[in-house]
Amino acid sequence: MPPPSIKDQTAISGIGWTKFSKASGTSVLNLAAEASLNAIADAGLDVEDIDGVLNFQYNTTDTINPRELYYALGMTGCNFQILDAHGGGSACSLIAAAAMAIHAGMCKNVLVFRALNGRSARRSGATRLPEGPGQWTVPFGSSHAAAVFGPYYTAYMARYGATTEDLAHIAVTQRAHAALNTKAQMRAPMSVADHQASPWVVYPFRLFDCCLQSDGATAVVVSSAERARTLRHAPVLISAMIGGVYPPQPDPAWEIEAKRTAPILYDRAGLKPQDVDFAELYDPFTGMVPLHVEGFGLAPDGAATELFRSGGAGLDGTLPVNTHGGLLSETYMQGLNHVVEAVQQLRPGGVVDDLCTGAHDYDRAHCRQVRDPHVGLVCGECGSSSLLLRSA
Amino acid sequence: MTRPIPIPDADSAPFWEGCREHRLLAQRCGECGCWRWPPGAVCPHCRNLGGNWTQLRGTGTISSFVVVHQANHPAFSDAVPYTIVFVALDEAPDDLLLQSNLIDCPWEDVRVGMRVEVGFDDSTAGASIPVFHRVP
Repeated sequence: MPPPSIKDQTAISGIGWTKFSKASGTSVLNLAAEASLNAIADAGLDVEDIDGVLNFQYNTTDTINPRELYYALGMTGCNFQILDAHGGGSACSLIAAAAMAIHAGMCKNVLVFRALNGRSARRSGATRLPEGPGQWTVPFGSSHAAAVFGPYYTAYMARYGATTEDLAHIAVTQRAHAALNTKAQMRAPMSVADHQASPWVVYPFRLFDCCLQSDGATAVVVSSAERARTLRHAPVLISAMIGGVYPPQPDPAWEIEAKRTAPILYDRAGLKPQDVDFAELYDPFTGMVPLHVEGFGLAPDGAATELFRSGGAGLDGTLPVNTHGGLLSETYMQGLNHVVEAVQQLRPGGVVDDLCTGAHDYDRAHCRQVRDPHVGLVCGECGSSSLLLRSA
Repeated sequence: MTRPIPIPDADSAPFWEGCREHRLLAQRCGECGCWRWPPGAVCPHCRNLGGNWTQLRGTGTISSFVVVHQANHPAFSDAVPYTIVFVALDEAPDDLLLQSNLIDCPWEDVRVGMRVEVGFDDSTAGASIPVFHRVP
């Protein structure tokens, strides 16, 4: 198949965020406004240049409607809006929607944001009722996301002989990355022993296997590649995109969507797994990371845990993974923070929020920048949605 | 605190009615014969509308499991640790994956591949809940 005409024709031109915290002390609308204004300014655009507004949540309402931000910021023309409800499957999907709207000529610059008081106000899983899909889970004492994703890793352990100690190396790797990220919520050092001593939440997951719940906002501006070349930063090109679904019920084979979508994604970009220089993979729990690594062909089946154990997923490894600390240690912006990190890594100047005071020197006492990356993979929940991004 | 009981809907009512009679039921497509879980209006294999409710033997294999040590629903706080199992039922292990609880088995002993059979918990008024026991 020839590559789709959209390949490399759109770009991420701006990124922005707020402080990430346990209690923002402000409204979701204010958080959305702050992150969005930061992203628009980062792109070198004005609010008047934005003509599409997209955001997302997970099922129940924990965020605002795009029109609320539109009027709060005094925007002057919206040609496209979406409020998506696919949670961890939405971030990459909405980047794809923004790119398509631009490539189709509907919009010039589209804002994508995620804003929530996910710790201080509405916490995930707190309001599930024994009706609809909940009738098959809540009466059995299953109302925690760990009970949704835990069985994938239990099955993985049975299949490959992996252990819950393997998960420690994932948590420790991502924490080491977060330690070099000034905006990360969890930066204190973590050892394998610390992980193993943390209490069980839902086996196979201990406390340090679980992602954060956070207040804050993250925003991204998508533009045409042509337009982005005239803006403040060198564009980060969107080479390929998938915006699919993950199943509402557990998969009887405990396989994830990435197995189906990854070949399509690589084919559309004209790239191979070996071309990926780093990966920002959805990590609601440590145990989903090996499935994503393998689902995208970045390690042989059953070998992803060794990638972490050997240091291969570190900043100087063969495949740096979740270089910001991920949902586990940076913040729970449901994957839009993964997009922001990939963009930072791929810009010529690299990441701006590590501990380096001058040029990046790759000293891991202060530098989070991956060495000379050209291609980054970002994926959402179960690999149902994903992006291949590359430096211009 | 009383445990939450399922709120049936038009698609699931026959399943929960069957549990009251201590019968485990599942839908089977009237056209292609495929088993369907969870209950629904359409066969995902042949897209035929409707289906026939059929009694299952109630035996199966643990496909995967988790063990809740910190309950986030207060009605389950005094039950921890408890095991949530995903049971591949014998009639159609690739299609019928029922989420339930394994009782009478210490959590450290639970294994993928373990054989189980259904029982019914009538201890909460208003519903019978299908639970699983280890088959010796």
